[in-house]
Amino acid sequence: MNLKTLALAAFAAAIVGGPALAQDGGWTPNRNVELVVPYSAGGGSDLNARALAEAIRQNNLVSRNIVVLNRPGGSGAVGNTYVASRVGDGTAMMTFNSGQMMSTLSNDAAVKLENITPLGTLALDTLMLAVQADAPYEDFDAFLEAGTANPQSITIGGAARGGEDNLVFAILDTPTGNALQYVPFDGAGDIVSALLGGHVTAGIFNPGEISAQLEAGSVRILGTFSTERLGGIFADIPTFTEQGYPDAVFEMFRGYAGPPGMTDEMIAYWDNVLGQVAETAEWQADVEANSLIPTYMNAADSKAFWEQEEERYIVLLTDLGFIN
Amino acid sequence: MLETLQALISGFGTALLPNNLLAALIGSVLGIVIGAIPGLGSVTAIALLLPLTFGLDPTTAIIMLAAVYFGCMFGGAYSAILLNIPGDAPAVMTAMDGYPMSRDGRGGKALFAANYASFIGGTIGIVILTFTGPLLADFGLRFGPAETGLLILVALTSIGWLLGTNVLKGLAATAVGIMLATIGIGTTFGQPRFTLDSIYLLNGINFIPLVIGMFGFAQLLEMMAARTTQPVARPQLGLRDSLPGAGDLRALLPVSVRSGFLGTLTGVVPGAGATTGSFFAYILERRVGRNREQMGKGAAEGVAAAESGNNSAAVGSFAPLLSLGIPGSGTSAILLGGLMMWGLQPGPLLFQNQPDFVWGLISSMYIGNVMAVIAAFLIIPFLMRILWVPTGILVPIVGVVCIVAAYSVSGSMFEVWMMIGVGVVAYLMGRAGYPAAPLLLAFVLTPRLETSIRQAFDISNGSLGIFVSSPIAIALLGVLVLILLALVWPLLSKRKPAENPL
Repeated sequence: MNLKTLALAAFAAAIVGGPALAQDGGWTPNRNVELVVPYSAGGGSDLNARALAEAIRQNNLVSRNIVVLNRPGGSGAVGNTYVASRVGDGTAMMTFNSGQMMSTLSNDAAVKLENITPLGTLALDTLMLAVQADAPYEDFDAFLEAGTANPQSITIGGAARGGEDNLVFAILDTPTGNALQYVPFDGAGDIVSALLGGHVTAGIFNPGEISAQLEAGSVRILGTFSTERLGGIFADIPTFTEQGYPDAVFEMFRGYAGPPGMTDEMIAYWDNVLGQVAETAEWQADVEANSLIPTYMNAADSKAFWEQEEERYIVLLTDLGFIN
Repeated sequence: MLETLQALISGFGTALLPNNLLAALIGSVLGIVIGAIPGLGSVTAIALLLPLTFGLDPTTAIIMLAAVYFGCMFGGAYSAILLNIPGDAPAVMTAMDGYPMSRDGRGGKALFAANYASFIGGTIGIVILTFTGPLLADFGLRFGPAETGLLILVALTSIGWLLGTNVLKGLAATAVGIMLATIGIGTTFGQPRFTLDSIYLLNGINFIPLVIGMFGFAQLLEMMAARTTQPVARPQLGLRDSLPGAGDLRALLPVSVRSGFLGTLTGVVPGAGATTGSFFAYILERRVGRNREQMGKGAAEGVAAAESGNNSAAVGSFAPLLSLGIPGSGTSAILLGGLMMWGLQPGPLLFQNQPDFVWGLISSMYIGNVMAVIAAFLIIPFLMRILWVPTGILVPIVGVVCIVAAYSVSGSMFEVWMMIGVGVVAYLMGRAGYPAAPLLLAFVLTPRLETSIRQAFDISNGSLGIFVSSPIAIALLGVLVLILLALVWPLLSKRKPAENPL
């Protein structure tokens, strides 16, 4: 390919804005791409992967098909192991998020962050603390005071023991001298039932899990774990940082990772594709529908952020006794 | 009441549009086919079909998915009855009487009884949902961890009625089921237990390979051991003799209605689910039914109770979804995700903000149910041909079905090897007279029991008082005591004649 045709091709690509015409002159997938979901069909990661595949397909960002493949089991370990075994293969990738990384730590799994290649982060999610709408606590300070005055009388429902909800509970519990009581549930639906039925005092939720109840006026939210206030119906809710608890920050990443040994060209290719996905209307609509925080971090930034979070999780999980 | 009827009629106006009717028909046929394949259930069906419906109008899409859901529940009974392979947990109860009926030559009758009862149970569930939806959801909210725990304990205790003649062997099987259920990371425990450091056991033993091994593969080994080339049972009743007569329909109606009410109420309780619903309905029939002596040996009433209880519980689990935005089952959790993708906000305001959609969905359940029963009655005559297949040809086919179903769980060979291992053990257990159903039921119920009881103790800070802190809890404790007395009494009174043989 001589210089003239190359310039022409680049020109054409710029006009059409079509499939990434090998901007580095480098690698493109030579067969269908496997997008592995290490959890069952229908879960959060699965819906996320299918939305990604759909945004890529509709905008024609990858010349091959993206095939979503569920490999559930081992709290993500089965899928992680499968992708990590495809060393140097640019056509295998998977959804990778905070909870998945956390279970690699608490289960001391064979495949950890160091054994995979971060490719990008396309959204952040956060958590919040909700009580019944007619609960007697004016704000979070009053809630903590009531908890400290009567140890173990205030119960907080969260998803599973040793997961994200448990970690942020521990952060909230520290100022009370461990006077609050954590109650693990199978998922957000069960926590909402228990909260509305008055079986627990408060619950920990993702924004998307509680927005409908907030809109209906059946719950009150005492604070968010985000760095800044969230938008939409959450705009009036103060962060815990604002309320004087700077440690109470927790933002979970939703990203994508590939096997170890990917070449720089492969990483650059996916960096470019994911960067374009973040700009598409389909993807942005999906992020908004799920009350996520729109974010884009490229492969290098994702790697740095995930590593920093991994260290923080290790400290928190060790404090909680999930890592020795 | 009048407003509800008006809203429902306008909902029918939407649901009866030709394109929506077509969507319901396609959905129910797809659902029946997917539901009939062992290992695939309504969760998988809806998860896979959901992305395909994004191009459709939301109301049409949800009508189609509701029809898929009903179709799956109709189809789930087929492999349990014909091959003794329950495709999902609720169908375990269907196989209890359904497969013996097939062996008896009454497989066709069992299929019709199952779908007739599914239809009645589903209809009862939908009618209750239509008129008392929000009330029903409020009733569900009153079940906290303590109440749910006691309800599951009642179910676990009721297994006693399934143990048959050899109580000790039945208890041993139940205990094995409880022990298998403790493998893996528990919700309330957070750390791996008994996983032998295998990542495949980290989340516990998967139900699908377990049930397929215990029923399907063990069955296959038995057919091979019998060294017969004849069909499962001969002579089989033909289609004409299998068609349900007015007498059959009348006999099965009270069973289906009773089970429908019980199933709906069970389905509303958070986390109880369709398995508990079909199990309670079966147990009730076994205690009060007119044909209770025959239950477990091939009674159509057993099939009807299980199927009606299972379908109505599945409908009941929609009440918390529509009224509160809380998914009551795995399938409704996926539907919830779908609603959000269509830009609908499921939650307490859904009835107010989107009445067209909600009433369209509720009326589509009526239509989905009718479509599914029509489709099922057209498919059954073809399915009945399986009963004529000679064993020599059936065995390899069943073997392939078992292996594919186990593999499809997570796309790994681990589940296949486990299914085969379980099948061999189950075959030997069956030979020695250890029953399989109590083991599977204990396996399904135990994690729920552990989670609820531990949550209750977390909330009460270790005090037992929480189990008598609400009227529902006290009532359930009373039921528990009655069941225990009813179970132990005949054992004590029977022992006397045994001690004095003359």
